[in-house]
Amino acid sequence: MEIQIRNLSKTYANGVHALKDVTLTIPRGMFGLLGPNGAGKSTLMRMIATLQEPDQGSIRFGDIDVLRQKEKVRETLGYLPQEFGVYPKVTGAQLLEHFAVLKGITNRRSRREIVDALLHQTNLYEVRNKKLGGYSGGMRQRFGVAVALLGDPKLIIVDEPTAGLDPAERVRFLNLLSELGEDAVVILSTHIVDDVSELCSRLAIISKGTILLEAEPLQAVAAMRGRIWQRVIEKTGLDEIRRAHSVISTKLLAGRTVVRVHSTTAPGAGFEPVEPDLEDVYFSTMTGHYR
Amino acid sequence: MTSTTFHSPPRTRDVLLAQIRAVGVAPQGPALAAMAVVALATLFITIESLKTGKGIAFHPERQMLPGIMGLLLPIMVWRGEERFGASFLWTLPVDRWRHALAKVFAGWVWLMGGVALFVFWSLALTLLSGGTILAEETLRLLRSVSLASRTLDPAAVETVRWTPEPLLWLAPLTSATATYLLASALGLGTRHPLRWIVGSVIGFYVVSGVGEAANGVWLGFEPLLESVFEGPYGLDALLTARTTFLNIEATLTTGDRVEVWRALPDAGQWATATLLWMGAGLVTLLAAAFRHREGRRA
Repeated sequence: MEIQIRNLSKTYANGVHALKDVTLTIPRGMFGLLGPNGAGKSTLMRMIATLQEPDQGSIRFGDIDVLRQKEKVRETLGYLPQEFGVYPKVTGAQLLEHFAVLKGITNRRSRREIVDALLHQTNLYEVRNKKLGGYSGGMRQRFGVAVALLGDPKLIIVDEPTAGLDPAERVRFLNLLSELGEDAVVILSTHIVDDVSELCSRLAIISKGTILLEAEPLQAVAAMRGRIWQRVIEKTGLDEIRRAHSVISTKLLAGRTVVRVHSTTAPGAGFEPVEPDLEDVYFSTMTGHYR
Repeated sequence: MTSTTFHSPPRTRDVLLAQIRAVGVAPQGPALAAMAVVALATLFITIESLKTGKGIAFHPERQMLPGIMGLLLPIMVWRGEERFGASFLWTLPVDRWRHALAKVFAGWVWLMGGVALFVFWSLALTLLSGGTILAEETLRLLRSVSLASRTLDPAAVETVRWTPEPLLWLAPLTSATATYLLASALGLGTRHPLRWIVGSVIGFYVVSGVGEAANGVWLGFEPLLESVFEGPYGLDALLTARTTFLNIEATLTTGDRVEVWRALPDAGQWATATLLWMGAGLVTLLAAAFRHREGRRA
């Protein structure tokens, strides 16, 4: 069971090419779709979630044609959108029951059991009778996961789930997501590299509607070994470094600038080799240095 | 090729019941506000009734409120739902077109409940005040519609006996239904309904202003508007069985201020207008809901 996306393209009415001939295979397990804002991630997620039509191309999920058999997809789809609209005046348990009915779980007793189990799984059981308007951002996201898991979906789409969460909630949320990928295709769309590195066994990097890289994170990181160099400089020296080297990222550390460059040989005095991480893979890919 | 296991999609009955429950949550705030208004109105009417010693006549067909309720309810029904966007609602295993209509139906069920309560409240108030129900009434009727003016010769008015028709008691339910259907159609069919309303009003005034500037030509708008609002089958006929238009206050040349009728309410005319408006509402709603059909690729 996998998703096969073939030659998918979408151009919006304002001329923006959101997706350009995207071809991608997403296997079972946790798959990270990584890219900056406006890269086309959400467009792709919406198409897989049957919410949007491409101009051309195809999407298959196992033996289902996603673009033609939308109802079939929805019967096995769990979707957590970026903005999960909730009814602020109903309790978590009530809304979960409501969505359970709409997912086809109409037997009252089994519905109650499923709802309780999901509330326990998402650590929301204690606040099940609290109105959703009083939930924190993290609680709402966990509630969204509970909704997405209703009906034991085989395809789960999670769009930018950790945006806006505080660190503690983010950790709790990622722990919850990590339990999902065993028996289903789980697509995690995000611009936060750490989310993907912590959770996903496979990833794709998308930018300007094009898939730049499709790989396994560990292999991609291993392929960068010996090619990432770091130097701490004053901010004023950054332009010179940029001119002389393939800078893939810069960050501030205690008021000074840490520059990481991509090079197959030692780039010169002051640079030291560093162990690459997924962020290096991401930035190298975005700057065209990862092949 | 790998096969996938599926859960059966919910039955239509289950979707309807779920949506009725969900929609019922939305208007709680406005319902409380309405109850407060009703309590105040009850108090005011009771005091007035005790002061004058006159009972209230039961005329649910003269109420604009149900029509206004129908007009505004879709805002609450669809509040928080992205009708056209990538809403979570549309990822559920229910056909999108069917789901949109189920939500509209759920709103209508609550609307009918609210209007029925309103009618019962009017009835209770009438009975408590010692008022009349379906009793013969004495009305002042203009001998000729052409005589309609704010100052009248008493000779232009005749006194007639008239008994309200029970059929007109349905007017609150039907007027609320028709306005609800039309407003739901606007909400489901357009991404920005408010822009359409404001744009239409501005467009109307611009076009008619240009028409007037060009030798005072009205471009036929005035008669058209009159027909739509006050005509025999217009909005007034739908909402109040034309009682708002037919019933005017006038001053007799003797100085007395009296309530005068241009003509008596006609149940047949009201029924025709109601069928026309409800039919139009239903057709536009179905057309609007058609925008939410699944995009099936050939």
